[in-house]
Amino acid sequence: MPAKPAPGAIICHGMIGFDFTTGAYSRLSGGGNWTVRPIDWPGLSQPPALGQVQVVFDPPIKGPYSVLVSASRTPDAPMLCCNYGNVTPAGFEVILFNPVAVLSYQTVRNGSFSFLVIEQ
Amino acid sequence: MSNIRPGVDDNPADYLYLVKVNVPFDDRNKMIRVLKAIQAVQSEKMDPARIFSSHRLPDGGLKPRLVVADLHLNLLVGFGLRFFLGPLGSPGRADEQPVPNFPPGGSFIPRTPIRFGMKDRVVPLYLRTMNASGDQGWIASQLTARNSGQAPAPDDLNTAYQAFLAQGEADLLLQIECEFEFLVLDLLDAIRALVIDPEGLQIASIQRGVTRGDGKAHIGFFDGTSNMQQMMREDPLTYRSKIYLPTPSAAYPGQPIEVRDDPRYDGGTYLVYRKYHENLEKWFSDDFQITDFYGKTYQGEEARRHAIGRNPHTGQAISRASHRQLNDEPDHTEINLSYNEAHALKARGGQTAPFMGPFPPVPVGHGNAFNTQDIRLRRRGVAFSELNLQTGKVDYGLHFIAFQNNIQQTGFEFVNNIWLINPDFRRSTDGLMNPVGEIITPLEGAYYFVPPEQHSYPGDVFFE
Repeated sequence: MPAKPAPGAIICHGMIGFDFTTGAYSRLSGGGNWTVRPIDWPGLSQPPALGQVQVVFDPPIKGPYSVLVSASRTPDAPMLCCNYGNVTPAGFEVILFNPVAVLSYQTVRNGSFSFLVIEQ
Repeated sequence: MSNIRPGVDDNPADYLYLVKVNVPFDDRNKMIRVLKAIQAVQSEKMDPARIFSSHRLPDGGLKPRLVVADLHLNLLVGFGLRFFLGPLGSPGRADEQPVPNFPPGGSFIPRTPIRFGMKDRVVPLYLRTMNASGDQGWIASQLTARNSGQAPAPDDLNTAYQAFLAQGEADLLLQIECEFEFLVLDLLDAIRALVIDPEGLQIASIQRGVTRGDGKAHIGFFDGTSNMQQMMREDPLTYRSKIYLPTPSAAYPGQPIEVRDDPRYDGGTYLVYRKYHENLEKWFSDDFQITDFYGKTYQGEEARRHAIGRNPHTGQAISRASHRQLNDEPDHTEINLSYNEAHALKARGGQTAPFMGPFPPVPVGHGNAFNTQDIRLRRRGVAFSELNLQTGKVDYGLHFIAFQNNIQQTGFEFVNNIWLINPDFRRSTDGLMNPVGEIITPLEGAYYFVPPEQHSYPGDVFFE
């Protein structure tokens, strides 16, 4: 019988909140081995929060890992969604978007979300 | 649409006056008396049965003209941020929470008016200090020109910009229009005599707009070719979802007030006013030129067609591929096929597609997949040509008026800041509004809330 593979371990997790008053993303809970910031905008030292954020590992994760993200609904976007991409050892990018609205409002949105990183 | 709101949904009459009025007191009962007095004038002058002149019928008989039904006499009252929170620079206007142009949505702290005892109402959500990209640049260039080519210090620029904003605002905006100018003056004079003077109100300015009669703006192109006409006719639900509150749609059950306007304001709309000077000498010169994203330069008449994206004689859009005139499509979507630098396309956004942005622009290759969005507003601008009686010179321009239900995120500010003045949107700065071109200069502007049609008097939703 083949050996049962070792279960993955959650090595990073957290809840990230968006403050509509200050327009900033920040850590609400989770481990201390990551930070969050808006994605890079060339030429801007403090890029605006535009529904697209970067979760940065500290230190970077060497091996392959899985990511799970889930959005927290907002008062004006109760079906808010998010997904992830640009996975690198340094971190990954999360995009939040509203899939259910009139066309004018169907695009990226700011909001809070949670994530899990499982190392294999 | 069977239920047209005059002053918003219909086309502007030939003569349109914009009267800015300030109220030098905060007394609630006195304000209600003022608004009721305006209503009394309106009821008399806009009596549906009132007749003014007549026109001859084919059989030789005379038919009297009704001032409202036939001559489109109308009064629309807008309420500025000053009306609720006081003038720019006063304590009531400190620490304004900005509404970002993008992405749409968000939770905003409700603001309680500090004037006229409106304790149980909130300030209309999207009534904020005007924030149009390009304005500071235009002011900076004027200061530079006045100062022998020397750029202004940041403090001086900010002082001039704040003065520009403050001077543009007013407590009330009266939009009075009619096909006969005399009837506009007659209504305005009645308001002055019966309301403004006896109640001690102040007229901040009176702007006079006159249509040219050929449907064109002074730049020689038809104005309002694509202006939601078909949507209004065939899909009033969608039309209203863009122009009137509530936005963006019916409230979610239990949705808190922070994220939307007071339901009592449903049916209201936001009016954006901008006075644009047009440098026609430069615009119509053979030297006028624009350059597209690929560096190709156009001059004279060809440049003007690229700048607008239409044929000035027919109003038809011009294909950026074949350079031929395009046939009309429903809701004038053929404009999506026009030049990328064309004002008509930049202001319309184009079909839903990823675009680089938002403002400020980012270099090529750093864009992200934002939805272009289906953003529309109802324009109702009127041209002006101000004759200087001393010199005989005429200043030309446009009183730009637009209605929408969210100024910052799906209305004027989004269109201006994220599309028109953003050189990376459709890879080109707007051919008409491009500040470098110095064709268009904003002279003043402000935002107003137009409450739902009154049942008692203008603005009754704020007090009853």
